[in-house]
Amino acid sequence: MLKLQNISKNYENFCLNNISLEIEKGDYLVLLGKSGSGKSMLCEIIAGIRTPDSGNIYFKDRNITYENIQNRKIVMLFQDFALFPHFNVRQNIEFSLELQKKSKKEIKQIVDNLAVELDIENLINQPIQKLSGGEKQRVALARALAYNPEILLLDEPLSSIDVNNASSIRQLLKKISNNGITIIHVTHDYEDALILGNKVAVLNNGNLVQAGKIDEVFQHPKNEFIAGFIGIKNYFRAKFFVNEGLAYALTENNIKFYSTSTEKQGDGFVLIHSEDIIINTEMPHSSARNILKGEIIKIQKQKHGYEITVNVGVELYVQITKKSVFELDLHENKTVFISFKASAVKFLK
Amino acid sequence: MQAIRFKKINSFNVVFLFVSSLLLLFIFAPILGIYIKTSTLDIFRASIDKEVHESIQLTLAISAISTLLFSILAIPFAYYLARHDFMFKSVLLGLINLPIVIPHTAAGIALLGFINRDTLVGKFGEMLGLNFIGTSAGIMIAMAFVSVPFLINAAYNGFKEVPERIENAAYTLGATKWQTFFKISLPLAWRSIVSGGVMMFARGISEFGAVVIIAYHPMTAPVLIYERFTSFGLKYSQPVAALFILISLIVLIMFLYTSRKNK
Repeated sequence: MLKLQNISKNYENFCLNNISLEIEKGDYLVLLGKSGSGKSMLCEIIAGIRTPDSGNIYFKDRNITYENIQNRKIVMLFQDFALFPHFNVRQNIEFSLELQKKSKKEIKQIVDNLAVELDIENLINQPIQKLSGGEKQRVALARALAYNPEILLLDEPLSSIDVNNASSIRQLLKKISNNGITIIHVTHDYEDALILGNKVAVLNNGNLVQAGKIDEVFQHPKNEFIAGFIGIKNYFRAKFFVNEGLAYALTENNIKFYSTSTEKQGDGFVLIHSEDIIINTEMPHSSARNILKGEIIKIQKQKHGYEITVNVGVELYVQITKKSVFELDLHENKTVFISFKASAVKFLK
Repeated sequence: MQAIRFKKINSFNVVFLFVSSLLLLFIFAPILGIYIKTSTLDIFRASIDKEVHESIQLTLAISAISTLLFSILAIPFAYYLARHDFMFKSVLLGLINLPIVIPHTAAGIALLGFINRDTLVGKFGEMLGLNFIGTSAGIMIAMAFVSVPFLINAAYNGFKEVPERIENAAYTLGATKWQTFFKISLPLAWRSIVSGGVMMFARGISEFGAVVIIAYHPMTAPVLIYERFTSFGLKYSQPVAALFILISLIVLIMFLYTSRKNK
């Protein structure tokens, strides 16, 4: 649906090099990168706020590289929301509808529906200045959705929002995505990619390092940079339960991980950093809440130490030093016990 | 309001307070003086003097028209300046203020050379039935020349304060440049523009030097005050002056009101 072809742009000592990327209708693409990686600039090029020095952008097979912003039907949500300060909430949402000369009745209906969907009914007549960050984000989303865009560009939508609100905005973004809108979400946070995205593109210093389905990129990072940046290979879809103050996650094939985060329940992701896992050759007696028996299926040398893949019902990646590999005489098919603390198990929702 | 507190009486505070009082006296004494010397009755008489109130009306009307007409040019120009960078922009921004700093008689002479009947502009005006010399149209041009920089500067600053991101947000929501300008940029810069307009108006009504060179008649209030002074002396010019200062004071209050930052 949207195709970037060899996009390059030089701007104030910074350049975007030869970016090619393809997005299908309904995709949730997360553009992942550190600050200064060029992800926001790429976003602005897609929106039409900037034009690339070279390369082409195709939208539904039409070249829109130099098309006016107004004709793209691609709405961008800015990091600081960019709401119109002289309008109240309702007027902000109505803005694009009034430009389209829709009838008063129709406008009211659309705005009222969006207000319910985004849970801002009680704010509808408030001035913008009175809103919190999370509320502003909801209004900005409502304003964008009122325009009925083909693609929604989100520039760091969660960065100026506190943690509690961020989680509810994430749920909202999921819901919007499920309604079929194509979303491009710019962020520096890999957790956003994991929770929200179905595709991810990693940018570094103006270069596209790797792009693809979430699992492809996370499980098979192309190089050290991505592995280091994403830094997480042990993540599993799971259900979270809290039972008498004891929290645990159950993966899809019923492997149980104990956790200390008791505040969330329901569907989500379990995350365990491979550095936090210990390999034992015998059943350990320790304070670690998670002890699992498994079989080594792969030993791979890396820049720093080794990565051991252990099958405990799910495949867990473990980072250990070269010395440990030899001292414990680790080899493929060997049975081992792995252990890690409950606090090493993170739950994302 | 916080009361002034004299925490410490030291030489520094005493000197600064003394200097400040002197300056305040310098500014307000002559203005207060004119009201002490002139009886209310005289001011009232001046206000019903046909020549006086006609000239004041003329002055206010021409300055208002000059402000409105030149807004049509100054606002788009200020917006363009605020949104585009080009070579020597800062030089241009400085030079715009030239009419403010040159002697206004010199401004009048320069203007006269530009709009008299022998020039292209003068001939073009004549074709449209507009004569600039000794007419209201000429006065308007003179007022605009010396006062339009105030409007340009204020509008420029007003537009500069409107974040481009907000305009971009409007564009991505399908608004054209015209729609964005009239629905977003102009309303957001409006306070600055109005305050600049009031300033331009105030500067226009008080203009003497440039106006007197282009048109002695019809007589604007500053010219009338000058004429009363040279023909009849101080005593006869004071009531008119007092009346006009009062009107200027009202304009000043309007300016202060419109230029308040928060609404």
